[in-house]
Amino acid sequence: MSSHVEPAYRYLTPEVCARIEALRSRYPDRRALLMPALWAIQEAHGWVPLEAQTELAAYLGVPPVWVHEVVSFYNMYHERPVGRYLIYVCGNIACSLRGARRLLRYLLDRLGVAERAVTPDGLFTVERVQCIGACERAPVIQVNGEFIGPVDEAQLDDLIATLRAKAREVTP
Amino acid sequence: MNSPSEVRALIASYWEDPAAASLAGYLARGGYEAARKALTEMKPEDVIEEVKRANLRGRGGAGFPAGLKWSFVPRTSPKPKYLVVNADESEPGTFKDKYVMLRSPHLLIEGSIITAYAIDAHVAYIYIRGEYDVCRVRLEEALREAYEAGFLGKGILGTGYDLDIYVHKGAGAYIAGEETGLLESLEGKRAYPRIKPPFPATVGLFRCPTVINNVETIAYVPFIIRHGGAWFASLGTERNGGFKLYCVSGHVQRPGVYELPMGTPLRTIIETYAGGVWRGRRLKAVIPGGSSAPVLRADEVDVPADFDALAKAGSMLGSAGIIVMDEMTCMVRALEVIADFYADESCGQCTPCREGAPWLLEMVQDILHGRADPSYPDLMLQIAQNILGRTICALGDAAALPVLSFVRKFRPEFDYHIEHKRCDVEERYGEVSNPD
Ligand SMILES: Cc1cc2nc3c(=O)[nH]c(=O)nc-3n(C[C@H](O)[C@H](O)[C@H](O)COP(=O)(O)O)c2cc1C
Ligand code: SF4
Ligand code: FES
Repeated sequence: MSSHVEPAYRYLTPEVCARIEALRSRYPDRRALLMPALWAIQEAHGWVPLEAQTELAAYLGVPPVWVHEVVSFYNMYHERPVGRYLIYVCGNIACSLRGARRLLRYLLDRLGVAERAVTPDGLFTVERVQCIGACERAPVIQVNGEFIGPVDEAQLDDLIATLRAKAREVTP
Repeated sequence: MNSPSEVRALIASYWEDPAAASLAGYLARGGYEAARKALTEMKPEDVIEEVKRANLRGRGGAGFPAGLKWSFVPRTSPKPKYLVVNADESEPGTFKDKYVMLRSPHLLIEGSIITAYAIDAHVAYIYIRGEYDVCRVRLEEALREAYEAGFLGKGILGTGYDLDIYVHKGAGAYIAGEETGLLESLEGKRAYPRIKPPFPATVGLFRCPTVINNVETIAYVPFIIRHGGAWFASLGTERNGGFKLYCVSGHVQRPGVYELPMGTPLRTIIETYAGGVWRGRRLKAVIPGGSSAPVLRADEVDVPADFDALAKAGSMLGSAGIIVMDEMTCMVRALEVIADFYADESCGQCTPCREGAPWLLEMVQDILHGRADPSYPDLMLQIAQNILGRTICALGDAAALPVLSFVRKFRPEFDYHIEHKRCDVEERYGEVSNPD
């Protein structure tokens, strides 16, 4: 049982803590909770700010550097906010053989944004990634975890339009 | 043994029917019978013997015999023992484990139960790459079903055997697929590969004896228990038992996963199953085992696709990610993409890999962009040679082998780029099929 008296946490909300606690018995060592805990934080907040990392270290009773070295090592933890739609464009071998590098440039141009930046409307972040295990659908992209492919330029146009419309629906 | 007389597919036979992904559909196809047989009729040592007889080679890349690996776990160790299923599937060109988890998750769970029983583990972790969240969700669902039905938890199938299986989600790092990098990652650290020995079988997860196997390896185990190791062995070639999930991608008409007998000729996989090269073009080159494997020229693909035959042909079966390149492929550009990957994914612990992989990338980029001088190809070969075998893990070799094979086998393309500052493939065809 963790019985420390907590300062008010900003990122380790009761829900996040409950998720972490539900996993505690799975591992003989609390350090192993770091990755699942970081996922819980990111799923709740969209990213893992330094402040959240510090809170997690305090919560688990581990040195802050243990948390930070993990966050900075793995590509999928975001140390900066990302757009509502995070678009991974695979640029690896099977996809590039089918024109993925050109598609990536097209998508960035279309959105007028640099790789890994967020569009001014907060909707999109585009990131070139290494093989995402869907080479049979090359050139393939992933939008918030969903595989879409093979894609061409027209489909990317449609996708952007669809996601923009969807965002308008959900934000009054 | 009740061996089916004609077998066309094993794992993939579950993929034709979407219902087979659910527990009910799986049970209707004889699901969990193999686990029942192993746990109620066989001793752990018998299971290991059967898997040894099957010639089941590890499907994660190295092809190590699974039964032999399991036998290295010290049975008398007082420490807990762990099974870790490697579902990181990050080798470029590889996408088979994804189908196992999406369409036949119970096969993976049943195989894990039998494997854990054989090595006396009571906890198993399935380490799944973060990008495979769709698989994770499906797997968690299947695990819930298995717990409810009494196939997991305390006293499985009415025996005294307990097993918990947990899914652990990765977060984007190729090196976490390397088995000891994976263990570090599971322990909540950076995925830095460990120096071996000691091997995980004796000092593994949380410093306890651990077996790590690939998803596909584990998914074949129920078939071996059901029909016998000798039967499984007879499906493949010498020392390469059973069937194999081949992933075909690149310039073919029908990219996809094809389950075929181990040792099916590489050319047959590409031409008959994947429909041959797309757009009526000719074949130029094939990478047979994920991007780490040395490339083969079109005249080198008449080789059985198994671990030993491909090794003899100077390449490797690896993860069986077969990447096909048509005649309009610029090989310099293809190598640039591969070199970028290894430079990006090097964990940085070993100097030859940390420094060498980015040098190789820069040099191939210089060649591509007309900034190289004629000494470059030889210098690249030299750098690659100096990485080989001098690193903690095999990522160093993986960075070196493509360079050695591409430069040696397609040297004129590299030289042409350097001399003319243009692409000779592009000159000949007007465009290349792998543009920037
Ligand atoms: C850099 C690197 C990456 C690897 N990635 C994977 C992977 O994604 N999945 C996998 O099963 N094995 C991967 N392996 C192989 C594992 O280290 C290990 O050999 C394998 O999981 C053992 O399982 P098996 O005997 O069933 O093949 C990788 C190896 C290296 C060197
Ligand atoms: S070979 Fe490369 S990836 Fe492997 S441990 Fe050394 S630096 Fe890390
Ligand atoms: S190379 Fe793009 S998904 Fe594999």
